[in-house]
Amino acid sequence: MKRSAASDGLRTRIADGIAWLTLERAHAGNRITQALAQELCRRAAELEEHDHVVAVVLAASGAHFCLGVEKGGDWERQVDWVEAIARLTRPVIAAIQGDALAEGLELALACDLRVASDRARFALPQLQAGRLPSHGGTQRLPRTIGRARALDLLLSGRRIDAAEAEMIGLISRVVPHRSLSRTVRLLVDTLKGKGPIALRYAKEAVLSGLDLPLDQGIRLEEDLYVLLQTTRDRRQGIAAFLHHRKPVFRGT
Amino acid sequence: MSLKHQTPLVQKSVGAHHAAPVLYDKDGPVAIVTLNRPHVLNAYDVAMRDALYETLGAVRDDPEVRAMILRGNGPAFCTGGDVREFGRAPSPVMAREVRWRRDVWRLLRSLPQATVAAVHGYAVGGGFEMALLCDLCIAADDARFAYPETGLAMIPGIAGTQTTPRALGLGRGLDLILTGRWLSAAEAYRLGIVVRVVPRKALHATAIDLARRVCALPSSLVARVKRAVHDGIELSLADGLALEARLSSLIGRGRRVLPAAVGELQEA
Repeated sequence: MKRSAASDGLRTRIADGIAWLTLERAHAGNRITQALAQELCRRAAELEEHDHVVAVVLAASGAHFCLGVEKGGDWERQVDWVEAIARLTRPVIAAIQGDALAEGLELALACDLRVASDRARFALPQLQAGRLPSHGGTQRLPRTIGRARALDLLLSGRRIDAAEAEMIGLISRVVPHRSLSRTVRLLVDTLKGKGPIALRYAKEAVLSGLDLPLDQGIRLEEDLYVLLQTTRDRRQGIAAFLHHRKPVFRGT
Repeated sequence: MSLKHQTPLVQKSVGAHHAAPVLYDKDGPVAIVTLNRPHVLNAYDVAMRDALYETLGAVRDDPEVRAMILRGNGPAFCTGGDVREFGRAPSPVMAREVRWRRDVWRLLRSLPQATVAAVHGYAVGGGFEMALLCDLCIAADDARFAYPETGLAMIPGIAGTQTTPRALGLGRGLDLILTGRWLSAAEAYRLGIVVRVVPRKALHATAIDLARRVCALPSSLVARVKRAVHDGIELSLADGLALEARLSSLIGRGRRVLPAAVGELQEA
């Protein structure tokens, strides 16, 4: 895989253990076409093969993050592009520099951490258009912000600003627009300072565990916890902590 | 109420003047369990974990105890597992077996009595997780919560990966666990995992007051409402409503019932 490649509206770049996926259909509000959706699926699958990728940033060019799916286009077949992102085992940061609407918000919800510009607005307006969200919104939104607020957004279709999104827990951070890049880089640095396998297992414990009864989720956590005891990184992490120095993790 | 009369439940061997790692005191119907390794900010080691197991078993089996407060001595509530001990851990196979053989954390979260975590200073790693395993958490205004585990190439191991997203939602749960960022008492209150924030010097009195209110209720009622909420939320709504119906129909029978788990109602 090339270090940086752009195809069908998606630019992919891997540098220093971080994969950057950038939607590049700014002229169309980064609306998703079938080609772009397929490219997202391809790149997501390839990323999983790269052991040294610690985290993924999903970003977008132009004024908006993603305004949804391209209207009018006839898709030959179903492409599970949102689930392709949701299935990534590394932590995924959504860098939301503008509006995330409809499937665009559903895509952001499939990421683990959402950092937004104060200019960004969020909505699931599909009901107003006579249909149901079909890319995970009715499932991920309540699990993220609770049932009442999810139904509020779904039934009203209203657009909320970044401040409200942060308050209700839809996004983890809101920052001034010009600080977004820097904030994302700082967040990336934070994740790079963690054990890579620990990050993957933490994500797995949380996401898979949420589907299990509590007792079984706790068993899953314990199994992953104990598995981590066999890693060199954990020994490194403990030694570094005891000697008051910064750990150097290798992902083993 | 005096804290001077604390009975150490586990004594270390003669010759070593170590205070017990867990202190147990009773103020009428309120059990007060105090983490007591202040020199290491109440980091827990095997000795503390074992002492906690004994203490919580005593709480569970004491019909006079109607509420329990979990607190920490010294500048912090608890800073999680004692990292110095981690290098000396048994094999992962052994570690896993030991965890289930003496499941102190399951004991904590399934006590029939109401449990109140009174948190001041750091509640970090396992300390944060312990607070979430109690029914209620109250905090001093200096309380701060965090999950530093991933920074040591570990994950939370006291159910934190399960309890945190269930309490705070998926987004906030992942944020706290992946990034290890700090959560202030004020934010914890806003997010609903802390039900009171008070000045440090009012923490204990507030905990006692909260505990005493619960003590005014019949113990079987408290045990049942705990089961209804904790077990019910894991079930489909229909099954949860059926659970509630079963649990509420036992009130007024005049016999003391100790429900241990869903479907396992045992007569005392």
